[in-house]
Amino acid sequence: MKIFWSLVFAVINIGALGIFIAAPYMGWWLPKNVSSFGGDVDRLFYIILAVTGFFFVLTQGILVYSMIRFGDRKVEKASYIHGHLGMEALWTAVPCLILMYLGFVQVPAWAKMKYIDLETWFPVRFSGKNIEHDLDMVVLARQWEWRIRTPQGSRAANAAQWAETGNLNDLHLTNEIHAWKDARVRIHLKTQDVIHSLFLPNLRLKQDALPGKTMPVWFQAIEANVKYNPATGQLEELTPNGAWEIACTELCGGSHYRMRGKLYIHESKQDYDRWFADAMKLQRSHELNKQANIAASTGGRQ
Amino acid sequence: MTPLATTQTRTFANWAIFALLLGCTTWLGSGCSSNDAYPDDVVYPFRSDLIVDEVPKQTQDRLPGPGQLDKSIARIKDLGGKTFDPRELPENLRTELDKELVEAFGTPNQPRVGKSNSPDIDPMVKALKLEPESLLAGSKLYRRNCLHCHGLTGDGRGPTGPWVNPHPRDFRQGKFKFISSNPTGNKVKPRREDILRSLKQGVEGTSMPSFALLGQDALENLASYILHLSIRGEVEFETARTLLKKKNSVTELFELLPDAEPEKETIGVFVKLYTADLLKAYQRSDQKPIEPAPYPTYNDKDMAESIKRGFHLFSSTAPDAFGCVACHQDFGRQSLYQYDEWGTLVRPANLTNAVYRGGRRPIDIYWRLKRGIPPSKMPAVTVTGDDEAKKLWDLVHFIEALPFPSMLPDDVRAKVYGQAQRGVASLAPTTK
Repeated sequence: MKIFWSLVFAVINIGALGIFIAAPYMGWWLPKNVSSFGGDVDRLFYIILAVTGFFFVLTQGILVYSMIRFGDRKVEKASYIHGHLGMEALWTAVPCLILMYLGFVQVPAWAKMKYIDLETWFPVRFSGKNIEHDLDMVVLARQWEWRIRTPQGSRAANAAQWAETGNLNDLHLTNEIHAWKDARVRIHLKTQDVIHSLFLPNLRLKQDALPGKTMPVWFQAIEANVKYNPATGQLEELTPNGAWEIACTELCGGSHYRMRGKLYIHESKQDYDRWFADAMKLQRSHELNKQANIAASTGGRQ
Repeated sequence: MTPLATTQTRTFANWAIFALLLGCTTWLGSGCSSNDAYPDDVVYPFRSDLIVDEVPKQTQDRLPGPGQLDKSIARIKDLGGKTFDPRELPENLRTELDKELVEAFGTPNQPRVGKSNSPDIDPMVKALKLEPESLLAGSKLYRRNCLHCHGLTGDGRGPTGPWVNPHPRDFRQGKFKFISSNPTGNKVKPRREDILRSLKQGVEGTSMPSFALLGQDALENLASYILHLSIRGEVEFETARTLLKKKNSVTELFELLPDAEPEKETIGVFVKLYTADLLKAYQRSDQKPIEPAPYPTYNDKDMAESIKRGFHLFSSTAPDAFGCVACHQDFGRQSLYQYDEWGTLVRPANLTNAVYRGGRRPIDIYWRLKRGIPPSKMPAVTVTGDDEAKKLWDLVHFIEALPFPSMLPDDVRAKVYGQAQRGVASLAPTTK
């Protein structure tokens, strides 16, 4: 029984590693990347994963080995080392170099997420130019839903002013973000109450919404998941597991988990415009509509 | 020095810690129960909060603080209103009513409307989708999604209810604000579509979120369960109120049902007949939506003229106008709080905010004007003559343009926002 705890630690570690290696094959991995900058984010993730994974195996291996050798088997007595300059220098320098490497390697990815017109790789060219975008969108977070507003004609004339006041002909939706493939979407992210965080896993996008501030966020989806069918008024999925999610990633209260939504990327601007016109027609309805009764329900696929 | 622990106790401790870890992992891994049904022994408790019979007329300039709803309702008596305490009903009447309510409406775990096999109401129950299966599915959804604000009996006093403003709706009086029906008869009920709209879209400007992601079937079941709570609550409310008002005379209850010919005058018979009466009212309302005359097309010039006429209708006290500013003071920017029929303080909407609780479609606003918002004392607009639709659309156009200064004709804009376009900064939707 002497070896009991060593074995427990070994089994837990090997188990954890096993689950981890199996995860991608079990579908427990990153959701599909459909973002223009998602590749950079994923690359960073894999770099960090490789570094941490290597050190995890190394340190846990040493831990279990030492437990068996010096605790359970008592092959020899462990010696206590204090103040070894070479070792200290080594384990200060190695993490320091790794962190510096990560610090530099993430800059282009960060810049790409924040500056749409970036072309050079490194050093970063901060042009200070306004982001050229195709679609404006206000995403207003509140306890516990996303309220989304898009202007007629995709782009607002005076976006900053429009984000505050809006227009009569804006389309209002709840928990549904619509854009089209390759559209450069500029989100004006706001919150009505507490801090929320907009998370679009497929777009590798995450941004806190702070009370009193309008946070600029942009994305460009390089793949579509829906097509609008004007005959039925429904959205049709293009991919079998096409449900792309919106989530809140800042604990914002009792029903935080319920702050979910759907991301719909239309296959083309024409498709988006057709859908928008129909949704708008319902929202601007001057008569009793006997079928669907709100723009938000044009998503159809609930 | 004696050792702190012997080898035996140490081995035991090892196993104990291991067992504990294993136990915790199993417990965490097992997750929560996925059964949403109420436990069998949960019943709808008999109403114990005050029944508001008449509310004070005077306006208030502020709200009672959070969590003060019941205290504020208790003060209504001192301000000139009238309230009754259902706990003052004689023991025998209370027990009888409670028993009849359980028989007619079941329990949260077995909700129903009307006793089973009653041929006189079964067709209505079916038409209103109030069958037990639908209600049971609805009660499970309600427990998970709605209970924490709207409460077990639909009293709007769930654990989080008292802390949000405006208060979650109390379903128990069968009163609804956003109605698109125009039935004959005195009981005006919402159409099923109206309830579904609130569930799907949420109520903008309040804490009620959208539940559209639950899916159409779930929302249908939820709407059915809300009708169940509402009908049960209203039967309880009206019976208790009338008994307290009429000195506990069961006979006088039947004055609420002038057309009925009861075989016996007991509470049981009254509950049965009154339930049937309510079902009839819901069915009548559901079949009678307000359908406006076809909407004419307006060009830019017509629209500007229409907005001007709407402004006149809204803000003038002339006999041909509606004088909405009397309550929506300064276009709602300085409205005062008034009591609604639930005894809560509400304020006429700030119409410069572009936040519409009952929906933002022009038809929604049309319905609000045409039907009024009866429980909150917003009167329906009455037009004599045959240009009703035209006048209502004028008013709708003005209300829609009001939050957006650039849409208003110059002279109207100057009157609403001042020459320098004051107030533009305050247009962002607020939670007020």
